[in-house]
Amino acid sequence: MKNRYIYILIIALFISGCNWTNSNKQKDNDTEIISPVTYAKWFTIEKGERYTCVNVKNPWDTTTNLHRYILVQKGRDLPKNLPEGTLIRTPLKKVVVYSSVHCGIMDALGLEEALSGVCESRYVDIEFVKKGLKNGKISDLGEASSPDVEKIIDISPDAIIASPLESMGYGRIEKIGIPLIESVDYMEVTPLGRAEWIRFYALFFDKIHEADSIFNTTAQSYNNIKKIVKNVKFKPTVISETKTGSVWYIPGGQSYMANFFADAGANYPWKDNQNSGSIPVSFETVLEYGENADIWVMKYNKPNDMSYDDLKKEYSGYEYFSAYKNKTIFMCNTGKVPYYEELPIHPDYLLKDLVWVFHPELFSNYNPRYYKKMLIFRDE
Amino acid sequence: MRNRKIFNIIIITLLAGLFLVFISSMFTGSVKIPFKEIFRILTGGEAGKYSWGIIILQSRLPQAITAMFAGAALAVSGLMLQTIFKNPLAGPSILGIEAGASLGVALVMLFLGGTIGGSMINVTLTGYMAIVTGAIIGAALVLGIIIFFSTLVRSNIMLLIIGIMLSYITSSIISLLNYFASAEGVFSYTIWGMGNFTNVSMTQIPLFCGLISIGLGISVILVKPLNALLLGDFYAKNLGVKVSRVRCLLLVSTGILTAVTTAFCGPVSFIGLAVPHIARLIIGSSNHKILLPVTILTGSFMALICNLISTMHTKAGMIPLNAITPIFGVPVILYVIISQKKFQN
Repeated sequence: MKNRYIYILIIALFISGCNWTNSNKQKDNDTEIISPVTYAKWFTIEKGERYTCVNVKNPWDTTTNLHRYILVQKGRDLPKNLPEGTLIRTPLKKVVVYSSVHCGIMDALGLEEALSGVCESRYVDIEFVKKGLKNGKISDLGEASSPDVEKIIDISPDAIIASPLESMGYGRIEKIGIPLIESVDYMEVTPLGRAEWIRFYALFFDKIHEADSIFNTTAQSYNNIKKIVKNVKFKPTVISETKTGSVWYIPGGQSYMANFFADAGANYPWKDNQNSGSIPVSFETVLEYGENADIWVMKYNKPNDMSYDDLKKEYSGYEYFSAYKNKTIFMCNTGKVPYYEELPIHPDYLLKDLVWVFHPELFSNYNPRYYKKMLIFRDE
Repeated sequence: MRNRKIFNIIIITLLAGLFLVFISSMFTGSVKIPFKEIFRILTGGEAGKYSWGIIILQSRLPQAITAMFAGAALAVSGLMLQTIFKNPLAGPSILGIEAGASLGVALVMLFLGGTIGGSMINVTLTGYMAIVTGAIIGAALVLGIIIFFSTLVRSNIMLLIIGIMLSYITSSIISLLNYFASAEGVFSYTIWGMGNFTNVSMTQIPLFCGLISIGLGISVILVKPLNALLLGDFYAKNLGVKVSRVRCLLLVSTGILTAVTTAFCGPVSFIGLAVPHIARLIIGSSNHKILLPVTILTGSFMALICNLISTMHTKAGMIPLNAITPIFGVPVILYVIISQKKFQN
């Protein structure tokens, strides 16, 4: 009989001990401070009692919210009076993503195990994804515009990370009851604003500390480079990209790229333009504004690097630009360097490259990551 | 005699209109250049600003010349195909030649990375000329197949169906190429598909215009047999027309015209389909002797007008060519269909 009491006592103590440690841990998480969003424009984080509320704003209608997510850790009781929104129990263990950018973020946060499916896998140049696709751990879901719904249902992920397009729905995907994480990171116009979105994704996987550490390093590095450039006296004029068909898509004055040019100490002829996307203009407009531009930066995806001669063969009008005559064209072959993969997370890498292009004297021994001088001859 | 006079008036009016639109093209663009400057540049004088000289002589002038020749080529090609197939809805795209050119371009842009040649042959083509070559090879290949079939099948309807089937096959290959291509490649190809007159540079103008002139030249030779063909193959034969030879020449001529225009300007829609109808409405006759010159001039005129609108400065930037051509083309086609009695019944 005595023994029985002792057993009960031990078990009771054990249970209360468990409870004690558990509640203590919960308390720790509750009081955890998440630093507010500093650079990104289209999401906000609010910490509630035992939950986190993440708001994604609507870039196409700034008076409304696109989506609100209420994050509550798995295994915890749901708090009463939760605000309205899509309830997500964190951390997510299995997700599918629509774009290679999001694969890059999963990679950076060390979430290889959580990725179960990707769309447009041919654009993804990330080792673990390629390996996963090969051994079947990651499924190829086809086009992002019409993903394979059956496969997604078969995977039954905890959530789908997708990038919405203006006034376009997601089709059948919306109806299968899997939460959609709508990310409008690509609508951010400042490089650091876009980079901060890693914190948004991290919240869904309880990886905010890792994300904060990545983002803070990036932001610090970015701002340091910006500071170095701040005092330069001469700001070279820059034009970018080339003609496609009859149009020349140039970055708008308030666009992501225009912000890069400004931060890297260059003078962009369209800096006063109010557009935050790219604008289709004619060859003559670019010639009128950029004929005397000191530098010309361009990106392309080709098996071989381009020479001045190749550029002229593409369209003979290019040779009338000063940058062509003075051989000050810099090119980035996105098929050969991980430009698009790294840019959303590490804008500091591109900034450093651009500063090297505009002000080579500031980084004399720097080995650029993406850009290089255009070849004078093809066989160079 | 009276008819001759009317014809002369129509031709003179069209020429005057063409001249006016051509000159307007020199004045229209996103960059404002003073009237005096344009006049001085065009008459060989020094431009007040370096870039203005380039804009007029290297951009607006070749663009207007390209539009003029491309418009004429497409319209004549449409006219000949409508006559031989006795179908008002026949156009340059009907025989799959345009689709063949598109396949060639898709192969160069999406599969070969924009380069033709390399170590196997000594010539390496890159950039625009690689695309043009790809398009011409693609179009020639389809044309070859069509001509081969034209010797096997007598019926024009069968030939038409073969052309349409070839288009379907090429489109399916293009979809496949697009699926596996890089995002930039798909984008460039889509833009190419919207058509444009801006890519032909002044140095390429002689080649472009020369090739089109050959095609137009053949069409002029074919005026008489074309008129005979209007009465039907049987009557034409009785009139001494060698139908199979005419058909072959006609395919070569339309093939050259469509292939060259598509190669240099991308697939330009509706001009080839609608202009012959406009020309018929203007002169009220199907006699190719007068229909052909009117079609050539109207084709040039229409293409220049569409080019003018596409270069007009709008807040959103430039408008793609194929967004404009249907605005002129569709009403004409609808009018023709509704007004033709045989369609109403």
